[in-house]
Amino acid sequence: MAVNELGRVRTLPQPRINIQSWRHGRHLSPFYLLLISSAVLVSALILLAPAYLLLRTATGWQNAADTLLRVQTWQVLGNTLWLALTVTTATAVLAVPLAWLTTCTDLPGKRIWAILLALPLVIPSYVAAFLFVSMMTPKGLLQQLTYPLLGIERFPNVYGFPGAFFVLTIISYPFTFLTVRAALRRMDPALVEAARSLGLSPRRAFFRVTLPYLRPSILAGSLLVALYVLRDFGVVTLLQYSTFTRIIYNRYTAYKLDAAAALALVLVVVTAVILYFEYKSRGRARYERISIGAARRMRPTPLGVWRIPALAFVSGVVVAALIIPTGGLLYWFWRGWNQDFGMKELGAAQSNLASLSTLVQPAVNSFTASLAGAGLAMLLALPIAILAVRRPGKISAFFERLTYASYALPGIVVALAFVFFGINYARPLYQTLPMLLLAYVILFLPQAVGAQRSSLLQLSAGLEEAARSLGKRPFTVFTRITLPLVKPGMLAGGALVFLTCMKELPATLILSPIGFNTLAMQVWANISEAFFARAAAPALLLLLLSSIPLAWMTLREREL
Amino acid sequence: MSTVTCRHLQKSFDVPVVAGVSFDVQPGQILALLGPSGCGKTTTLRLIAGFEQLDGGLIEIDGQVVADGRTHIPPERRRAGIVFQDYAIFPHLSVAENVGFGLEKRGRAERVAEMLDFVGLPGLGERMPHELSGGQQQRVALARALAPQPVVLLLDEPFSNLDAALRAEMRREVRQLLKRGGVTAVFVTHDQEEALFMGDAVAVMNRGRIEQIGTPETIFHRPKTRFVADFLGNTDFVPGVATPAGIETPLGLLPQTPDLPPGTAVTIAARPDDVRLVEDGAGNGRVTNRRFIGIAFIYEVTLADGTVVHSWQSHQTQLAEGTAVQATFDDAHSLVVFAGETAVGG
Repeated sequence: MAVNELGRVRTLPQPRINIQSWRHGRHLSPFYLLLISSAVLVSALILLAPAYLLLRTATGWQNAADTLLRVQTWQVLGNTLWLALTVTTATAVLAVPLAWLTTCTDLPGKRIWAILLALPLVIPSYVAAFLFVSMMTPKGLLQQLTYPLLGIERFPNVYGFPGAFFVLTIISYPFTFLTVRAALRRMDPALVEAARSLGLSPRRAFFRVTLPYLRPSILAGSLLVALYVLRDFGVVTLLQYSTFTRIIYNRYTAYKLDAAAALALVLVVVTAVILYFEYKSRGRARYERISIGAARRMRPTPLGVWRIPALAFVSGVVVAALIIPTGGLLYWFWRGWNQDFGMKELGAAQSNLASLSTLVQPAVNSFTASLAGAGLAMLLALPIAILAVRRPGKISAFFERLTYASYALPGIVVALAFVFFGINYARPLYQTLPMLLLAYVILFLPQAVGAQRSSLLQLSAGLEEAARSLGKRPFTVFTRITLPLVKPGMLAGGALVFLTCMKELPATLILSPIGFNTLAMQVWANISEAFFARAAAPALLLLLLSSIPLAWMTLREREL
Repeated sequence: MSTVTCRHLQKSFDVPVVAGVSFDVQPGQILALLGPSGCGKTTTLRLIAGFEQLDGGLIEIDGQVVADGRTHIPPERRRAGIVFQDYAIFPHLSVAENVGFGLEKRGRAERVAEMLDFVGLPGLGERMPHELSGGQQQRVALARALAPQPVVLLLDEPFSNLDAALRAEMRREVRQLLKRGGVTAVFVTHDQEEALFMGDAVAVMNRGRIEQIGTPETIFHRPKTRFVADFLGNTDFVPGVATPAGIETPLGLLPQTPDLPPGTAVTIAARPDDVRLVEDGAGNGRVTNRRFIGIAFIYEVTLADGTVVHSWQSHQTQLAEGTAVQATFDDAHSLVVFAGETAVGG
């Protein structure tokens, strides 16, 4: 008999009680049946929109054909593709150096720059567009402010392509910036060091090693930018550049529903084609770290004399994309406040408070609808993500690809399909909150599945298997092991979905119940009437509210 | 009656991974599944645990069929505990909560204390997993798997995450614990030394099949196939020809007469302790390399026909590279002779 350090005999102790925990139950786990059936339900929901558009176009095929064969349709197609191409290129050109400067160099304050450079993501496109319009139009703010100095009567016209291109570029570059930055942070410094040791100068090492390594992340970011441009409604409408979303909305408001459906279908096809090519271009090479062993921190590249131009570049982007929009918003808010004072004198203070208090209900509506939408999207995304990560196979791949394909459904398209469907088949649901929430689910499901998937992938399958072998059923394993461990990642993903719900305009505009006013709708109503000063207050409130979950997440991350 | 019975296990992931594996594990026995990566050993273990579904064959645990072509009892009802390569300790639960995870509420605390005591971690129940060293984590994983009294314990490369010194210590300790607890265990490794040390029986796997199963001594000294001899290491294959008197080889006549027609080409498995060396200007080979392994020298000798053999020599013999030597077989014990890929008697 061997004796341990404590002098006690070490034999496997026999339990004094019955600890038999292996229960007997059914053969197929009900948990997975639940997952499969909810995934089927979600898939049906996603397929509803394109299916209905197809049906609608087919039944009204004469009107549809008239629309599609008009020269204008082809111009719209050209405009849309041209805008997507130029904005995507410009954002990549902007984002790669920004990501490199804030990751791999000794740029002063690079962490703060990185946060500031990502922040334009929270600005809704229509807010950015209205600020741009209010400042840069021929008789806009900039002309008024600089008139005493420059004496220019009219600024050049910025409506149409130049304005749309500029605004979309400065609000969507953060997508590429963030994906490229993440890739640079993961990059093994030994790759560049190996290239240097093989005789490459730093510059050549960047172009021959770093840039090819970044290719997948640039592509991933560019895809997000291209989809953003294709789906955008606010910028192109306010800057009067005729792309699909603008024309579809025009037809819809003019009650030309067949034409709207046909155009929406074309937009879906265009987006799907882009998604398809992106999908094909992926996965040929592996760019993950192959080497094992601990990663070292990359030694920052000294910028030397380039420090000043680099700082000027970075701060220039921050000024254009963040400072000017925020400043403009505050200016209009202040002007709106004072204008009312000047005009109404005594009763003004009350009227200001009163006009602010009218924002309370829209704010509550925005917040609750987005919270419910994000929660529902995350909940329905879960079965698809679990199946994709833990039960890879043909069926789960189908579900996952279908969700991914729903990226091809812009907000306005989903909204239109729901309107048609609601009027014809689901009258009681038409213009109710549940319908709006379902539209949010379809729109933001890919984002939610993506977030769920990546947090599940962090979790080793061994943990769940160990729990199974200890006698726990799949559902128990899920609630006691999986969920507690992936919760932080899921909450972060949910916060992002919430943010996008808050910003979403066309679906909210078209589907919200009568009398249901949200901040986004409030902003839009005022901008379309060119009441810039009155749009400022709801826009500011929208920015603040949508940042709350993100800020909360960032603070929690610090704690952990 | 055996505790685990596997019959003709089949499993494919596009390509066959496990192709007809059969073995029995007796109560209290430790079976080592040994083989190179991709040989199907881990898949076999996961089939027993129930994490993979069997394509064909039969698995019985404690006399109950847990898997065949039609039935698949889920892992939680198989009474098979498992210790993973990375231990899979639940990071959000304390040590005690980990060990008690598979237990009913009643009597849990006592059982957890007993198990922690058993693995030599008394009083560490309140610690969180990240506060433990690698060896302690492994003990927690072991205690957790053994706490609900599994019928069989499965271990998947359990020592590969430990550094060399700790690995040797944990091997010894885990083997002692399993033996003292009378635990029936199947464990997977690609390290032949570990398999020989840990296993009461060793099954050498290659390409989804078991090449040979037997005691560590049999596997090492009486390999049935060239693969087994090669995988267990340090084996040179010397060509020879069968004659009525014995086997003609570049190292002289080996006085073994396997039941083969004269003239059959064979190979002989020779380990460094089977080959003798004498310095001899007119010898059959030349020292081409000398490797110092601490307690001895291993000489590499290249023979006239190009055959390379190794010889183990104590420090008394010191031969420089290039020295002409006469290499012969040590006739102390008989060597394994292969005709083609399989061993022949004699």
